[in-house]
Amino acid sequence: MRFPWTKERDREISIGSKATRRHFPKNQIRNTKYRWWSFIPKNLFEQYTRFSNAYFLIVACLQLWSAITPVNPITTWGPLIFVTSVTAVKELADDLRRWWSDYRANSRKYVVYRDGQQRSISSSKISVGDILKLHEEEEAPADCIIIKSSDTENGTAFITTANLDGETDLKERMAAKPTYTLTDAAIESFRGVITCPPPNDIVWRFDGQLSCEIAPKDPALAPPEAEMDSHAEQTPNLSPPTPLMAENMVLQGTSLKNTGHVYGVVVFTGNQTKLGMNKRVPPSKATKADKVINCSAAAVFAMQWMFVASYSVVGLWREYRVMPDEWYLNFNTDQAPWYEPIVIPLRFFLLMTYCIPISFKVTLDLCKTIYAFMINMDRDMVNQKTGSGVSAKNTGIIEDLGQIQHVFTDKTGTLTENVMVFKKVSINGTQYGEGVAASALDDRTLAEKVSAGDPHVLWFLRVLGLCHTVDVDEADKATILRGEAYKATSPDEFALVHAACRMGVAFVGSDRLTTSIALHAGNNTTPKVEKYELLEVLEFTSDRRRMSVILRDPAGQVILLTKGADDIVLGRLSRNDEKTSRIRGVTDRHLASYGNTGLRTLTIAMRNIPAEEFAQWRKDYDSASTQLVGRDRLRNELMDMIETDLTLLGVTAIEDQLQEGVPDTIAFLRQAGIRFWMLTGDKLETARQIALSCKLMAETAAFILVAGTNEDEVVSSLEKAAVTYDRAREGGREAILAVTGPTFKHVEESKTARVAFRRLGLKCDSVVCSRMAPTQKAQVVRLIKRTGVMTLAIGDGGNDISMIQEAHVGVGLEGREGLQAARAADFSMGGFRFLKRLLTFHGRYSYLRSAWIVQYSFYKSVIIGVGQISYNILAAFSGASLMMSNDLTLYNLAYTFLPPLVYTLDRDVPALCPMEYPELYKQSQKSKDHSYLTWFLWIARGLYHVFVIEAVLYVVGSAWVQSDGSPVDKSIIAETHIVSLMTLQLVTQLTDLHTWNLVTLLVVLLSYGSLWAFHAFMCVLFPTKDLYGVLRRTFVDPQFWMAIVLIVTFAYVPIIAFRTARQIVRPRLSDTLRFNNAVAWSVGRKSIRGM
Amino acid sequence: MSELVEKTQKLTGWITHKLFKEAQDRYVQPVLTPIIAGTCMCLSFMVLAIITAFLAISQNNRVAISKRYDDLSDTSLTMSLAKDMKNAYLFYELDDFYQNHKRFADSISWEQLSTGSDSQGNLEDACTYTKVVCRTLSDTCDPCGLVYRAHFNDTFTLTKVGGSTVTLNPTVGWKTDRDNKFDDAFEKGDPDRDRLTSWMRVSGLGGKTLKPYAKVGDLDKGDYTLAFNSVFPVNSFSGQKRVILMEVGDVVGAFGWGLPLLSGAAAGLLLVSSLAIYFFIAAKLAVTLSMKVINRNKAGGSKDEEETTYQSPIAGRL
Repeated sequence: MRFPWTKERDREISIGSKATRRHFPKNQIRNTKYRWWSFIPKNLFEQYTRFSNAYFLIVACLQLWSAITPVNPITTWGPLIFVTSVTAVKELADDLRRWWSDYRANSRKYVVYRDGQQRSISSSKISVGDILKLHEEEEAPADCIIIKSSDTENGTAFITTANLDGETDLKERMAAKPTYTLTDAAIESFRGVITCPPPNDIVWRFDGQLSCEIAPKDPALAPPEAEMDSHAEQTPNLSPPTPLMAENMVLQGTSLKNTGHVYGVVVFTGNQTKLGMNKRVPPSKATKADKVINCSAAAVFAMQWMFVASYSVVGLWREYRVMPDEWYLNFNTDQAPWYEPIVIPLRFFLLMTYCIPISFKVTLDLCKTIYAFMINMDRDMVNQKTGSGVSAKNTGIIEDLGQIQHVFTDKTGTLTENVMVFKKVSINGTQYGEGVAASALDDRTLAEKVSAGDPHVLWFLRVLGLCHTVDVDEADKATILRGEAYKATSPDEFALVHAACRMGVAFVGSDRLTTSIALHAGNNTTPKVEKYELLEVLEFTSDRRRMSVILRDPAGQVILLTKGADDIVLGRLSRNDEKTSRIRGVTDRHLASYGNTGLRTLTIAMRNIPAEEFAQWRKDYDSASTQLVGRDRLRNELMDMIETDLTLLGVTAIEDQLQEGVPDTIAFLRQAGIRFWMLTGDKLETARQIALSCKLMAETAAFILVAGTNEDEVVSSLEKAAVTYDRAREGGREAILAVTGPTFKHVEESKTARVAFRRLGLKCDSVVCSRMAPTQKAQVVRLIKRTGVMTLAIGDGGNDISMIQEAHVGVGLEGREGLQAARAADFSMGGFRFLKRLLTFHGRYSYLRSAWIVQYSFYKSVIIGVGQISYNILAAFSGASLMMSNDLTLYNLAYTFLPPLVYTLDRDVPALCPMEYPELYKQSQKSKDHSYLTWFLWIARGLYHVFVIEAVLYVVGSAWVQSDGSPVDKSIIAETHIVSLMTLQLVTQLTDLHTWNLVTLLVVLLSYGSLWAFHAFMCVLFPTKDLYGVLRRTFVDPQFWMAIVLIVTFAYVPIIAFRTARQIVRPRLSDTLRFNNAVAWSVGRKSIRGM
Repeated sequence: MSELVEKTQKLTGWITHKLFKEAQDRYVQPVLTPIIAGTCMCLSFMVLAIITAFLAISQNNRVAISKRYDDLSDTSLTMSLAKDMKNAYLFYELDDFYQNHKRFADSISWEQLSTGSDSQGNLEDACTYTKVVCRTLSDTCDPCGLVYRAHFNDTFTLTKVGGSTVTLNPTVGWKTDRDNKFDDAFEKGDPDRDRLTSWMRVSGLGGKTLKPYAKVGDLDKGDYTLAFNSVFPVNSFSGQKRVILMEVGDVVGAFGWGLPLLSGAAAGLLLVSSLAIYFFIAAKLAVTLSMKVINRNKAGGSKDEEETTYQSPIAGRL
């Protein structure tokens, strides 16, 4: 029995054992948040642990106490139930969608073999230890170890991970070594034990062992009891373990391709698979404005209590000192002494609850959904080539797009196309393809050397043709020799293999044991095929930054071929090799010149390994591979050991072209006040060239490099950099800070350096960080984010994910390296150039719209809450309510619910302007429209309006006699109050809307009309209700209209006067653009209103 | 199933696209440029000034007499009319009497007043503050609540000095109240019924409770004697009782000096604001023009026109 809190030990999976099946959970996938019975309690609990909802629940409960409630409890219960159910329905819909996809996955049928019996069962019934038969195109239901594939010769199988990360290329998988030769029948009744670590989330790693049952059980030969597998009911005789690795594994969610079928042993099921363990709720991000909103809401709350406290003091004084004399109130003092001191403050509190807008979270969420719609629907942000548009995945932070100050961008695939074009090559100290535009592929001299069989050139090309992970599609020989059948994950490798093929060394294919190339210089020569025995592949990782293969050449010599990053490979060259030292200097010069023209370089080297050294190394390496603990560290050490003493062959240089519109986008966004940080794994010179060509820096800019090999050096280098920075600024030049990954490591370690680096980085125009590891990218973002500036990270590959998740806003490009970044990001898009429209158009508009919506929501609530309590000055501080219950309920739900929503259709400047005038972005970037100051002004506006309404009502109302001789009573005052209040809302909405379109106008007017409609309805139909007969009296009373005109005049003339004065004295660019556009339009010239 | 979902999604996508994009693209721009704002304010000022003048004249011509009577030892007072009165009403006014006190105003059952009965729970709520808790509908509880129990019960008679008694028409208050809202309250035909319905409608603003007593109609100028029977106690809370004879207009009704004064203030605000805006415009224009001249002199008169295009709204206007 295993408890959830006990840590699982290594798994021992006895294939076909009933105990194993029972021990581990079944393959039931569950991604839903709720179960049918837990939905209501769990959802309610979640909703009411939030402060605002809990607050309103308390208010609603207090209102049930009739002694203190000034109004009908429905005024709070109605909106509360509305808000709660909207949220609940949204959650329910999300969860139902998840349940449906789970249900479909769980009920899919699969063929499994249990105890040699074939069964067809649904996915959810599959258990650990089952042997699963997976057919072509089928999706794996659980993580399996392949024990046999339909390719009986090599045991290979191909899968695609398109469902997981969007990579459409085929990935090769291997069946486990001891079993791939068995027959189907033997496999179906196969027995054995797989030992592996407990479920974990590391996708690329699986350290397991497989032991097969080799002979029928024989009591005499059985091993002693202690060594036995505790789960197995029999005592099998097991073979020695063979290692199982990630390449033997088919992960849940991947599909089988180009392979008839495979047999696999299920090792991880349900939510314990690698995919399931990786499912996490992404870190939730809050917008910058949220902080302002929360603090301001708290201030409003405090203001509310100040009002309540002061009114309660007067109210209590009146209750004890004055009320006993007022006989008509029939005041009796037989209440308990605590009663009044509690009841009176609570009454005032309930009157003031309307200060906090109950529906504003719902409103804001709806608005954000509308922004997301507009982003997703925007046809101007669709990449016409790939058809992919921009999609807002995290709708919660769309407003932040309008406030970005620093953009952190990856280089390859983000700024550049990630389409690699083979450009130059330097072999044995000779450069081919000289000249800026020339390509080595067209270089005659090189072609001649290949035809002549120059050994240096040929070995160089052989390395390109042999050391890679490219696949060849099945095709005829001519196609392969033309280089048209290659399929590669990495565009760099594709370019290299393709180039080698064009130059005469074509890679024709590989299998488990061999890899072959064909020498075919010129079209007329018959290709000469060379077959190499494949001994080991030392794969590429972002830490190693190199890749090697160990082969036995046709002559029987063991050779190691390496290609990798310049600094890594150059550091591993042989020190006493005569040839290497001869060409080293020239090659270094070539490397520098390639870097200076923005080319990506790789260094090519090889080594002859003595047979006995290899044999020893092979033994160590194999034993390291079967280790369960520390396997990776051991293997890395062994790889380092063999990859030394290399002979330099040459250098390749590949060009990666800039994406469409990148320089313009960057130049525009820089004018808009956004600073750029380029973070790349490439080397410094390449990065610098790209920075120049994409206008990240000017030609004349001061390029300030921080360097150092330890903390002290880095600190002093940063000090020097600060001086250089000052000098550049004095000279009026741009200052660009540059740092490399190894240096940044020291910066990150020392606090002084961190602070100095951050200070300098924030001041400089752009920052170029080269040779960065993926984790370092995130570190840079974190370092800068901590200062409070708004950051955006944009990237296209898996190595950018950490940075994308770290930044305030993460943008992922749907690149050639798959969809991983796009899936992890808050926004995904089809090209870097769409960033401009996303930020300056959608981001800016959304920010401005939300700023208005939030502040208006509070304004309209404060005006009603403060109005209610202030009325008590005229009602003996008794806790009386001026407004009628129906109006209180409908005010938030009907009269003013929709106008904020349609504000999402407002544009403060014509649609063309944000993309034309970079200065416009600075307005939202600097939070000019949503700050503590603007909040203060809005709340002050609310208080002023309350004062105007109540003052005018008092002055006009106290001598107001209607034409039938009736002085006005409270219901007429209340009617005048709500109508003037709503007229103020109408004026606010109409004057604050910058554009009136059909929808906004209709909604605003209809909301206002709903008040009239409701009052007209109540006026004639319900004699017992307080609105009966009211409207028909006020409607014909000139004094009523006069009061409203006066209220609107007093409330709005000062505001408009101040606003106009500000626009004259200090016009904002948006004001000017709007005015000029209107003028152009009114005099009949072509305005800039269109799209 | 999934096809249907896809089709629906496409359709909603199309609709939202139409709604959101096209709605945004077709708009009118209500741009309140400084000149428009100033002009609007100036025009509003003129309109409001005319209204103010009308209100002030109308208030100045209104004949109204207000007399306090609770402190008189006599049972009558004299009202002298210098001018004839048209369509006069007799009002009484209580000061420091808070009809809109929560305790008082809530103590009423509208259901009972309209239909004659109400649920027991509602009645108990409505009558909490009366000493008698109405469990059944009896005379003492009909209608229940403080508003009725504390109703005004002074009476007035008006006689012309040396003439006949003036007829006081008790038909006051809202017609809808008389006919529907207070359908089942008080005895029909009772001369006090209309006064009671007016009393039951609580006043809304402070301790001033102004209620109609009777419709008087036209009165010739001269002296009148108003006899009163002062029984409604106000001394305990140091309130005041007044009686008011006042003309009420056919359309506008009656108002005090507050309305014309406020209206005048609003007109003044509009005038000041529009003048201020015009001043700002003129000042800005002067600065812009002089800067232009200075710049032109500096640059030798060869300044690009382009640069000033987006500098100032007024510059753009010219």
